[in-house]
Amino acid sequence: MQYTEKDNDNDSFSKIKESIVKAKDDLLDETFKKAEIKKALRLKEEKKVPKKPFLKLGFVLIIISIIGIVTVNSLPWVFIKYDTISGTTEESYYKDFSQGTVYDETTYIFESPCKNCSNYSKNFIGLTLNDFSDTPKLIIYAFIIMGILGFIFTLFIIIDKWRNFSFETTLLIHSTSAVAANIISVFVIFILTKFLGSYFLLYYNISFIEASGIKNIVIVYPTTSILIILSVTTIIFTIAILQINFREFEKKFLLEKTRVGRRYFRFGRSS
Amino acid sequence: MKKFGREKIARKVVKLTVLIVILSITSQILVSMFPWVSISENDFVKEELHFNFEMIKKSNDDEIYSLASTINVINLCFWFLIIFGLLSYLGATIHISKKISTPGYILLSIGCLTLIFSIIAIYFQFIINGEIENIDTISASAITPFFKYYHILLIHSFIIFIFSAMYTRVIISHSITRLLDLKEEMKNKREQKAILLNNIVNTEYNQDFKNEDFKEKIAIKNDFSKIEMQQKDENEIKVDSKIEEKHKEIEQFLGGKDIDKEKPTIEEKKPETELNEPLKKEESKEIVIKADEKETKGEIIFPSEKNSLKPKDSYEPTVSESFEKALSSAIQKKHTKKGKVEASKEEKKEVQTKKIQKDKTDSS
Repeated sequence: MQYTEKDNDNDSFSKIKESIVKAKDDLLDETFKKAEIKKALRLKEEKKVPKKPFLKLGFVLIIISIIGIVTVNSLPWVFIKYDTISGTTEESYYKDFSQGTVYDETTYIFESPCKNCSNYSKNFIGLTLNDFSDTPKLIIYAFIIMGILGFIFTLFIIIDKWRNFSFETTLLIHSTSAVAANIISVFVIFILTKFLGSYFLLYYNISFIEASGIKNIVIVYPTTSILIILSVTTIIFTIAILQINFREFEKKFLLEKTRVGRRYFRFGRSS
Repeated sequence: MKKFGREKIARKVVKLTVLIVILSITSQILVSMFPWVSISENDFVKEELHFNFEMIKKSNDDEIYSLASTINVINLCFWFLIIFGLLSYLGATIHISKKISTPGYILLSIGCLTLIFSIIAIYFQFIINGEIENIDTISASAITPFFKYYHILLIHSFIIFIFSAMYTRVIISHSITRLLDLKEEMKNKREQKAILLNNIVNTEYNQDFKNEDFKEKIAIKNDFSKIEMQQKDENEIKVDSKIEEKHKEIEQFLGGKDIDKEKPTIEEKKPETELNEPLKKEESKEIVIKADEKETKGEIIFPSEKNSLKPKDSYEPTVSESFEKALSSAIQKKHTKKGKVEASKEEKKEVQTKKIQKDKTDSS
């Protein structure tokens, strides 16, 4: 083979062309990296902080505690109706049996009316007169604690307007206070279940009470039923709050995940 | 072993904890609501007297009163189940929020205690059943002769046990995978550290020269720097010569003397320029791109785009178009002459040296 000038020219031209192509590739890489950085920065800027929901839990807890305390103090705890030899008696009693006349028969219903029939127990429906003075006190304390919790949470929300805590901290505090409220309402229900249990015992042990001459007994606990409804609603409400908060976090988490995925997809990285 | 993601774990935990909490609340209500035992009375009223938790606590009989302590333990177990269930729910929310990782994990692991407490609750229910059977005078209160009240509670606690077992399985599997991942991460970190240390020991210069890519890059860089320098020189010459040439041309135009003399010289040397035209054209293109890069700082704008970017209003008709075209073509040709002559000389020299080398090798 002969080496000519033309070949030499072609070789040099091809070399230059290759070098140009390589240089272009390098430049493209650089620009690509720059674009990547710019995109990442833009994504960071784009990250919208999710709007904090107007957290009403504090107000709701305060309202529930007020309603609870008012019902404990103002509504009657027991409504009793029974027939004796002398006639029918209808009476409603408030907490501590402070209002209304306490007849012997009513005390017999709650505490050892049947002297002849049993040595195993003094009462037949699982309730004593002391229960009507102790339980309201405990429930009032529980509702006071709930109110304080609600007040603290509303204070936190007010402080949040100035301090502007992060989305996560506010929602976490929201859910912790919801958990605390849930435990308090479970405690209230736990105290009041003995009143519900008395219905079971009244059904089973009615013959023992009737042996002492009291017949057609009807017992209703208006305050306890209202309080149980109130505490059940608070339990449902708090669990709903917990779930809502969890979903908010989940949404945020999934959004971040999709953002990262999109970024990887755009720039050809494997996740 | 199954590998769960962060959100999957959180979802599973939330579902399970909600079920555990609701079931334990209902079972706690049932503990103090349902009658536990019954005694058959044979005195004045010959019927069965039923006792619930409150009645057992207030009973005069010691044997019946002794049952209260075991029921209290069951109650406590359900309380713990509620509290730990709610705490694990909180842990799941903390875990998915990614705000604080360790307290979230602690709360999630606390949730595993629900398994222990559910087992304790079941165990004490069996104990209370045994205690009731041991006392002759009493029997467990029943809905039907085969189905007793405490069976409902037992079913509840068994369901809680299943859910808590599922919960602990999820958490343990997740924690094991996390531990393995952490170990891998630690290994990778150590390897990275070792590589870094090696890099520090070996100088960057030596390492870079081992790479062939780096060498190529340097070569390309040098080429481009040379081309850039040439372009700069040409531009400078252009700028300097433009003014002089214009002056000369104007003078010639007015005098009408030298133009005719120069024309034939350009025409004569046309074929020479045509030989190397493609090479020169490519060079000029590449140079244009380079110049643009400098202007835009890294962003490539092609010559056609560059022209489009220029404002149209900037055109100033100082001299006629035909005159300017002629002028510019003449200047270009002059410069190309100089460059080509030099290049051809160098190339010739190279070819000659190559030929000599070839001859030498052939002779040897």
